[in-house]
Amino acid sequence: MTRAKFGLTISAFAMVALLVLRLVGSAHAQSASVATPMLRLYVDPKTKQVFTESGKGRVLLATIPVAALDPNAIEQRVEQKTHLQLEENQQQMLEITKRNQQLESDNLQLVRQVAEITPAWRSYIDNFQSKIRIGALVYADWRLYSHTGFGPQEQENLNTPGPGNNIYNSFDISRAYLNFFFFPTDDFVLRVTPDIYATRGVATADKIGKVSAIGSNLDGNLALRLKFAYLQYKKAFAWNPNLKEDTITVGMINNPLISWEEDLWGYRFVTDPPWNYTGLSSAQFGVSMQGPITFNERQYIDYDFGAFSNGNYHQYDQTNTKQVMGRVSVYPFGAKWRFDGLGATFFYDYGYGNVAPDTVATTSLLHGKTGHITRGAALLHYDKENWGLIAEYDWGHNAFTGANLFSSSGPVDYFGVGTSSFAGFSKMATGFLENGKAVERGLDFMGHYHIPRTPFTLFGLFQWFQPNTKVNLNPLDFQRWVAGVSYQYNEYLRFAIDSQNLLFYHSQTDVPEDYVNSFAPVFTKPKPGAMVADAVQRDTHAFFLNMEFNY
Amino acid sequence: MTNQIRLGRARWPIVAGLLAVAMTGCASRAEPLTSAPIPANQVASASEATPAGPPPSAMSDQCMWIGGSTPANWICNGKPYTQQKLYRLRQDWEKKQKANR
Repeated sequence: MTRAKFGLTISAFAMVALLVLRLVGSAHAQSASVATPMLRLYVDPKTKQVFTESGKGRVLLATIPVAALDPNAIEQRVEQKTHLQLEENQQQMLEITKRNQQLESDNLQLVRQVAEITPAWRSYIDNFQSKIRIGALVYADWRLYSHTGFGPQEQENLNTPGPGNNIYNSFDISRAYLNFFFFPTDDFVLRVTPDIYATRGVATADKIGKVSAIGSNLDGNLALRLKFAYLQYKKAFAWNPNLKEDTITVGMINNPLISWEEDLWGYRFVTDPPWNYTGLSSAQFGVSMQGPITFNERQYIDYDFGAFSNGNYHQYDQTNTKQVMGRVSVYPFGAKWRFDGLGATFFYDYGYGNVAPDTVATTSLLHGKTGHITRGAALLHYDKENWGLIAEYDWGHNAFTGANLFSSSGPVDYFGVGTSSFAGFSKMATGFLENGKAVERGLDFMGHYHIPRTPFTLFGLFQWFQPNTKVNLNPLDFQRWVAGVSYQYNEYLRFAIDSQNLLFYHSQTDVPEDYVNSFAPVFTKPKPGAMVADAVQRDTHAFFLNMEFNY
Repeated sequence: MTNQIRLGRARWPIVAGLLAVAMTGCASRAEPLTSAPIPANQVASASEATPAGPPPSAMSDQCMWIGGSTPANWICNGKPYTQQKLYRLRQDWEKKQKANR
């Protein structure tokens, strides 16, 4: 074989091998494309380059199916994944939105709760206005007496020297309430009202050591005491539409008549109404029930009744009994507001003298303090916005004593601190008034008229009182009259100028001591023909300037 | 021929109409004279009455004190007020008058 023939044979063999290889390769590729065409990736570890063909120093990195490199397929997969991801994200966002809404709502509630949670002191201050009321009521005056005399006080805490002290004059404060009302709940109210009182009475001086003494300061001070202290329940009858405003009150409480009549007349800052003037106190310890009875929003009945101590609010109650008092006011045409229109009022009081039980059992010359006491009043009244008129008939039993007659001032003999020319008169008053069987009678008129288009109101009071109707031509019978004009300065302040007069209206006379002793043996061993000279006392005439501050 | 008014068939409707008018008159006469019935409270309600125009004055004959202290209660033209309410109404009115000048 020649060299050329060998070369041709090798070349042919190589070509056949290549062809076979190609055929095998294509057969393999065909078989692979039929199975899964693959992309081989090679990496040069030194340079970190990635190649799609093998080469020197390159190692196989990955084998990836060609289908995976199909753009459409990739796009589809990406779309799918993205879609899935989007859906997932949307879901998450929905949940987040829901949670956010919930959080917002919770937040709002929390803010509200926080706003409502105020500090305790802030809550107390905010509630102060609706839970507590504080106010004041002050009566003050300047009075001048052209003629002084013995008699009852025009107002509590006013005292006047007796006969022979003309032109006596005085600045006074006769009332100074501080009103505290507490409303912890809708159904209860607590009232506490301190008031002033004039201390009267000379205590002996204080001896200090062997040679020193300090004078008493108990006389003349204006001291504080309690006037009202009560708890009132406002919903006792809330279940009944006719009685829903009615209340039950317990403690140191208003008298059923006096406070009501003070409001009806409207001039308590000038002088006392009739039974108050003759000794019935405006407050006692006790329990009472009161209120209007309404039909169709109109008041037809207004009442107040209860059980009270026999002593008044500034006395120690010594008795083992109690007194009952009651008032009923009837408005036959229905009152649109308190006191509106025509009304008729009835009052009755039954009680006992304020003495201890062992005193009651003791035989006594004078039964005034131990006997039972009754008081009654019947009133007819008519009220409109600018005028009002009251007519009153009073009666009583054992209800007016020497202490009441001389509440402003009386003879030294009556109080046991001296003797005077009024000794006989003093005994006469005791015998006529404190025998335990005295019968009282009185007639009164009160009224006011507001002058149109002015702040001025005319007012007047007339009281006629017989302290014991059993006494023939009783020198102690009196008339009282008050007349004046008031000026309303503003909603809180008003003034009045008025004349106040007490008249013992019988002609001057002497009274036999025997006659007095027929009521009570106050004169020991009276001589025949002995008389109480000048038994009719001097009148009292005064001029007042009054002021009322009410808040 | 007479002077009688001939109602003819119209008389029954006319009678019915007159009756209706009469009943309305009777009903209105039964109404209370004030604009609304007011409960006869012992204590006036400060929120009940807030009149338009010049307020009622405690210094005039429109108003009457009906008792109480802390607060004092008034009736003005048939309506209840506390003294504080009257004072506030007066103050507000005076301020308005000053501002309008």
